[in-house]
Amino acid sequence: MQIKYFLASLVIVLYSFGLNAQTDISGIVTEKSGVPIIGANVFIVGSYDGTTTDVDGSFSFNTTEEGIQVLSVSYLGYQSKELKTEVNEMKNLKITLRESANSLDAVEITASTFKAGDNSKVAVLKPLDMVTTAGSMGDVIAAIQSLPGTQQNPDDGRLFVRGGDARETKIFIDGMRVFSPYTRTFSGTPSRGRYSPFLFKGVSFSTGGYDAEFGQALSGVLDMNTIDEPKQTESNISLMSAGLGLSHTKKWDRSSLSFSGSYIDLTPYYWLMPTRLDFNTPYKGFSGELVHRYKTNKGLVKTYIAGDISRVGVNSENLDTAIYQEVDIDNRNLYINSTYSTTLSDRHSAKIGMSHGYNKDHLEVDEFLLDTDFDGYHFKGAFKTIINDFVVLNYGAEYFWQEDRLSKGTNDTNFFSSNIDRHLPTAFSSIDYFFSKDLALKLGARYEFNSLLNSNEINPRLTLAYKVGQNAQVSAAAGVYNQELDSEFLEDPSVQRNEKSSHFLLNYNYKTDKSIFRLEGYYKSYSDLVSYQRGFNFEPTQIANEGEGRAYGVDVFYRANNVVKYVDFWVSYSYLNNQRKYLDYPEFAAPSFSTNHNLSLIGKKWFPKLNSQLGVTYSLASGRPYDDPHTSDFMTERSGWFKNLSMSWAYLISQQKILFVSVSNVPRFKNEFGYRYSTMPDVNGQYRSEQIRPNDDQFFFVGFFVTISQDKTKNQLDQL
Amino acid sequence: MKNILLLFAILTLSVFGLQAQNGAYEKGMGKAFELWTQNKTTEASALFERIAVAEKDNWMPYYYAANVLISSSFSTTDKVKRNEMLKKSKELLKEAHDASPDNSEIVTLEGLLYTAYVAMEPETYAMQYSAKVAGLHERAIKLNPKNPRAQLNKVEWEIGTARFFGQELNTFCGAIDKAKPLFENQDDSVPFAPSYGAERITSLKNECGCE
Repeated sequence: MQIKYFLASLVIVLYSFGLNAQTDISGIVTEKSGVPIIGANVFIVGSYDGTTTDVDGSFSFNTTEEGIQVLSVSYLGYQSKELKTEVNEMKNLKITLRESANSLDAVEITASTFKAGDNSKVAVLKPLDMVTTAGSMGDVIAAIQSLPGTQQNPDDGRLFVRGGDARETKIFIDGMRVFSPYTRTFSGTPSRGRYSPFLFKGVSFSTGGYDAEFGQALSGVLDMNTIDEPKQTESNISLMSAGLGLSHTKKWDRSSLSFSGSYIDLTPYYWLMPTRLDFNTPYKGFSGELVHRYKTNKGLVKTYIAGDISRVGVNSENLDTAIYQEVDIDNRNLYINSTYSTTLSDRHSAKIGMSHGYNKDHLEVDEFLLDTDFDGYHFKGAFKTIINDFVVLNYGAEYFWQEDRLSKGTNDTNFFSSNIDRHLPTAFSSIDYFFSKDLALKLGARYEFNSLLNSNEINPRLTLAYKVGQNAQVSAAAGVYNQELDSEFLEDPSVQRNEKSSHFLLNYNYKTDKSIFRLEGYYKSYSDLVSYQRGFNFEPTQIANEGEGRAYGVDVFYRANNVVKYVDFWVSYSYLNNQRKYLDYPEFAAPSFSTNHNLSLIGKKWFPKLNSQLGVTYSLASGRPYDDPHTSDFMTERSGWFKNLSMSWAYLISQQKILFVSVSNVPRFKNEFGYRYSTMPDVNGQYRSEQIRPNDDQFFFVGFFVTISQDKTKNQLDQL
Repeated sequence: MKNILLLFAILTLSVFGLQAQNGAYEKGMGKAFELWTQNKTTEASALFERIAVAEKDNWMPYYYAANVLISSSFSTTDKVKRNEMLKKSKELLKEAHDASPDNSEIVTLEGLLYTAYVAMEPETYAMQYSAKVAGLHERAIKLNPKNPRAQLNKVEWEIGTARFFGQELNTFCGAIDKAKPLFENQDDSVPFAPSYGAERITSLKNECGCE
């Protein structure tokens, strides 16, 4: 009897020790080309049985599992594979893994886009550059102008892309339209971007060939992405030569709230520094910002509200009357932007958002008043569906509603007023198709309707990208773009079409760990641009869509970081040939804002012993076209070359205190931008003229920044 | 009597059997640690991952699979590979987090993950992740103030920052010493629960020139 028990227990013991038959599993893991994959993880799912592949890609192990099992094969950067079959059949397996198209060194389908920030592989500009580039004075737009494809118009300050005027580049925050991105100034004093660079974690700047998600822009798109999560609860104080700023951020587990306010008054500055302008009110303004971020379980809600009020007034000479006029501008601006981005499932994600912009300009020229105000709304829903590792679908719809109001008069009478209201429903869709990790295609289309023109537009977009080597890729893009006319002409009954452009470009990109080289050639053609004649009082008449134009050029960019220790520098060069016959041009000519050659050299060097960073920016641009009415030729005159050398010095007094000094045009180059002329000749047939000079030859900026936080290691270094 | 004997036998054997299965976990983990010590990181991480997939509710194999990748990423020169390793670690940490939410050890390791990003490409990631790393350290300490790794990683991160600014490092000696009793009083009842890292105290003290 005892023996019987003993035998029974033995059987059970043996069973539990798993002395049942072991099965050998073997095979080889390779790439499609046959190259073995070393170190791939091969195992039976749910068991401990498995191994990693050898130097020849082979594997073999045994398992106690029986029947139908799942064999999993995975390796970093490759698509995992699962094989479900009888364990007895898992012998001499030949498994090929495909490189994952979303792996980090896969081809990128962006032809003409410069990205700055976290997730971009092509980090042409880093988040810090937006603030540490010498001469940019904390202006995002000024930092973007160090990239090729932009033409420098230092007396204007706005973005001019590849021969297009400033209106042709649209600016977005988190994919939502910004309706009045620039501060209001007088001609000769550059505008700045309205929004603080500290808000953004990155930007994506496209100088052509952008995809179907973006429209209403003939030349360029700048999309700035706000920070998702602030660093910590902290307060910042800035004392600057031009004013002061305060900000505070409070951070909770899931949400955060930041507010900041600044007051700028240039009165003391101009009391010290000479300027060509005869101010009666030097620029003064108050601006405030509020940012709220809330993390939901699967998404993020961001709300951003910014408002500012400013006033500036000068006395300027009217060339026609030779009389000095008092000109005052009051500006009020409000911008609200709210987005919700979320993942719906592993393969679906959505982003919805709205933005609202309100801008009011009140201009007084002696007793004459000009009031322009503007309301713009943008609603957007964008979706992304990952069909598989090789096919991604992006689609969505937008709705724009814009209203421009204008009134001219004096305090007593109203001469003229208008109100232009229009609605633009749009829809867009694109498909990313990866033929392999090295070859990809993006095909898209955008539809737009304009209620004022009753126009329908369908714009096709195409990008093709091919990886030609470990570090190099070639891409080509083409697309059709349209944009509504300037509101000044929109209501004219003879205007029935949107302005159009077509882009063709070819790009070569070479990137290593420490350097990036880009070369891009492009050709653009314009049609349906607004055209008109000058009437007897110089007002536009015979307004039509008969303007056309073409532009071609080459952009070159090179950036090297730490090739020389502690030195980071980049070089941008753009060649542009731009010819247009539009507005009141009698013939094809290069517009005044387009320069043939533009060069920027930017360098930064960190001196660890001095706790300091030196920044140097050198810019050069060929002469700007202007028209001399004394000659019979049109727009054939050229101003002198523009030269500027700016330097900045950031000194970390301690981790919480920073001193920053920046000086523009250190050698005091005498820059000029051609001449402006009176509209009518005098009795001798001579036009009165005035050379266009920058209002300030040089600008000084001194700032002292203090951070107050619990964590004493944080500072405002990244704010410089 | 017979019945009692039978019952006894079955009981014993089933306990035995259970232990055999547990033994596989211990053997597997032990083997993975052994591979890790032999610097066979690919194999070690792969084995931890295999165990993790089999023991979905246990956070530790995921934690160690990620830990191997993050630790070895610091010495990996191929940047593409390095990026892939960190990307994979992020996924593994997410699984660990799902198995054990609000776990101080996992949050500490997450801090190390973003430190690795910063170390890889400071120009790109320092601004973006510095605060995140600091925040994760804070959170890890909040979740378990007695976690010596959380305390020490926080100090180490601060030492790195101070070194960058060329500041005196010996001010950190006190903070480093505070981790010592925490290491000594670790709860070692759960097998394979993280208890490593005490040796960092000596090396950090050397770096900071502490007595």
